Amino acid sequence: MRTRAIFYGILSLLILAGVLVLDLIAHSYTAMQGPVLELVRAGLQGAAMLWLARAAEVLFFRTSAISRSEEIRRASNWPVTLVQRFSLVLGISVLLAFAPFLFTLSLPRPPRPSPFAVAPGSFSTVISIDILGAIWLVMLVALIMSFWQLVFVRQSAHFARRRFIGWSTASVALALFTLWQAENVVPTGALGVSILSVLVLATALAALLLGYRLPWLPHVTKEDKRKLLLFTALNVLLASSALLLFGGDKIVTDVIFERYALFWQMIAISVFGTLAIYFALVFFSTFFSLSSTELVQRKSAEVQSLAKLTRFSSDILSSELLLDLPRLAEQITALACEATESDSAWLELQSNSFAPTGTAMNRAADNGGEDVIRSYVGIGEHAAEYIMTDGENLPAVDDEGGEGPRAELERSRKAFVLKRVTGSKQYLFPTAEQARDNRELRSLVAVPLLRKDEVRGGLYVAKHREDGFDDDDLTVLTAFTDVASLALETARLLQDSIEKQKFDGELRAARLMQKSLQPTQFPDIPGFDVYVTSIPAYDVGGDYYDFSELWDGSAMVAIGDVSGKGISASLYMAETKGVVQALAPMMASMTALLESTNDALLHNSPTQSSLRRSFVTLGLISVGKKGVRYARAGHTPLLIVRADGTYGFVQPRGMAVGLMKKTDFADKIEEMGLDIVSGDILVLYSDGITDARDPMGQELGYERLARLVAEHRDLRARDLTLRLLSSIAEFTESANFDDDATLVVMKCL
Amino acid sequence: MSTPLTPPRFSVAVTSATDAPNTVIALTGQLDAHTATEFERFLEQTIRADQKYNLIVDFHNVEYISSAGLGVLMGLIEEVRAGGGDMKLAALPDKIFHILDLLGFPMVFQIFQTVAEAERDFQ
Repeated sequence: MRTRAIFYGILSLLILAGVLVLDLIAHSYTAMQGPVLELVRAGLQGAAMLWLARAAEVLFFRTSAISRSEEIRRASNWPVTLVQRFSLVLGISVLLAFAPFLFTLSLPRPPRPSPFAVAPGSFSTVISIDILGAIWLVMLVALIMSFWQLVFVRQSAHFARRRFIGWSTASVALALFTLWQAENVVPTGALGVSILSVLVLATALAALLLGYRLPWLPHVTKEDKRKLLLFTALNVLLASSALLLFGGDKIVTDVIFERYALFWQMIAISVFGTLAIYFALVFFSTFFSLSSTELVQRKSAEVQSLAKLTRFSSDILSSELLLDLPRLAEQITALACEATESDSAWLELQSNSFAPTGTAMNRAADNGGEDVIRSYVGIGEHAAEYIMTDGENLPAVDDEGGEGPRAELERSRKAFVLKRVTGSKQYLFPTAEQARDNRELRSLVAVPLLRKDEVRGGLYVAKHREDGFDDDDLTVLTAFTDVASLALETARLLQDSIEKQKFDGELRAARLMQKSLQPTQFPDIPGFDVYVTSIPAYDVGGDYYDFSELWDGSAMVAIGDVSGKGISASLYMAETKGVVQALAPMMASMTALLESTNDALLHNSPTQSSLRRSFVTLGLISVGKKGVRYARAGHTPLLIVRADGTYGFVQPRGMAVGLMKKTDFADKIEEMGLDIVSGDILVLYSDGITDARDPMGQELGYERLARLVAEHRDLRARDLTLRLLSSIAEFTESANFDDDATLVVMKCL
Repeated sequence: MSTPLTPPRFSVAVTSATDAPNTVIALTGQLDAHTATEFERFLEQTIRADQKYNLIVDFHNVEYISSAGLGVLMGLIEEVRAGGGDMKLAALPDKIFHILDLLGFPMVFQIFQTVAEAERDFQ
């Protein structure tokens, strides 16, 4: 492309050199002179101009090569640059008008009888004239190309080209007509004058049309517009001077374009006249658009910030920012600050961690409250806090919730603008540097962050300027906040689900741990067929059962129920199990075991009364040399179903473990010996069994349980247990228990 | 303020005269893990700030009591007795008495059929 352009340039220079050679030959052989030679010269000059223009387009002007996107990117200052360059070209043109005086030319003048009858004085005159002509041609090409380029900025290429061609045609027609008139080729007189007037008018009109639409003008910044005013005025001045120089005294064009002087003069008049008109138009358009500049700029800034926000929202939904809530909040704050061209911005958002409802595992409550995410740009936490709670700038709020922008947001749930913020100066300096610069924040926009109509926080942007925001800013920020809220909410939900997954993992681990604490194999208790089942209401439960041996070698079965539910209950259960397992082999009796367990558990529990709410009920049966014995520490009464189907509940005195001090505890446990014969069934159970309700709300109760056991007393312990569970499920019409449910069935063989 | 449509699930109030020798504390509703805190604060206020140690807790309108509620009674009985008084429980619904009975509360607290009986017992 470039090499070809250089080739074109060289070609056009060669053609001009050819013209010179031709002129020199014609100078010697005067016979060659005449209209034919002049036409050949004109044709060669025209061809040189065209090739030069093609070369110049590629090398210097790049009209068609400038892509649309580049133009848009440089929309605001690109035409200004072009106008500035134009001043240079025009300046050189004006200077060129004086070029003939640099040469010593011997011309017979004035006047000449006919443009075709001039005899050049000498060889050097011929050379000088042709060199000057070539330079002028180059300048003309530069002028036209610069103009071409300027006319094309942000125009539809099609229309711009049409207008330009229309204008060129009119100019050339005008020039030709003038020339032919001088040669008497076309009629003079009234008809000639009217045709000339029409042609002049057409050229002027074409020039006006070229400058009629200036689509790039609104995008020029205010500062650039001032520059534009200066340079268009300069250009008008230069074009007018050139017009006078080339149009007034024909001597200049006479010298340069010796033979076609009149034609070229008309071309020059047309070009410089058009340029003067065009730049005058640009000047006035610029002048009158000055006042609307800020509005246009604001609109375009809004469009840009909206475009940015749209891009942001589409980016964010696929980005890793969603996994990092605090960083997302930072990004949003920074973007809000940038998009509104504010000096400071900050954001606060309550982000409750997840709290599975309906379970005792409310982590948010365990953490003692909610988390607030905050992020600040160009302002410190204290200053922001001061502004948000400073009621001076707002109408009084009668709510108890406080005053200031934050309270106002929570009350109104709507975004609002504070055009003038006043306040104690020392608090309003966002940073130390700004305090030094004596710059405080004077206007503020507050936008609520909503989640399902509930105010969860706010986004604030502030400027040093008073009256820095208007309703348009509010609109843009509200739109932005909608997107931001969505992103923040998505991030929060994502974080919650990740945490919940983690928590579920921990819960599974806790469940596994609890499972491992429960004996999987039932020990051989001489003379008894034993089966135990325990069903936690939640993932982990507070029911307890275990087997161990006492000091005297008797086997012991334990059932227990820890107060409370869920993980805390399961931990207390694990502690109880540990204590009982450790103490039992050293204890001579169940009473002693309960006493020591009470002591140990109480010793470990918090002394603060409000936390001393955990206790455990225990039911113990021992089988050994002393026969079958039963001790009850607050647990449900033992059910005994005899072989003949009669039944009864045994409820010896006893007190739950973990409630009372050692000194009071011992004498409150009554250990009881039982008279058990073959076929008798002992049933230990937790209150989850007897409290199971049918759909009407009626409890299973002791009687119903006893009758169920009696009904199925012939079954083995395992089958009996399973049958009981299915019967209870039939009764409650549900597969689940509301409370932990544990059954221990011991059948005397 | 709008009137709540449902009665609060729990309330606690003193129903005896301020100069009466015994303070009767009447409970209403469900004494669960959450409301137990409210009950506890009320009891602590009565004992520590008002220096009242002869307490009768009226269970007549209690629908449900959780382990946390029981913990409150157990946690403060020692303090009451150290102050030279006692806490007696009165008018327990059958179901609630049954739970307290299983847990061994009758061995720690004196339990009466009515508030009047409990008052008589103080004299």
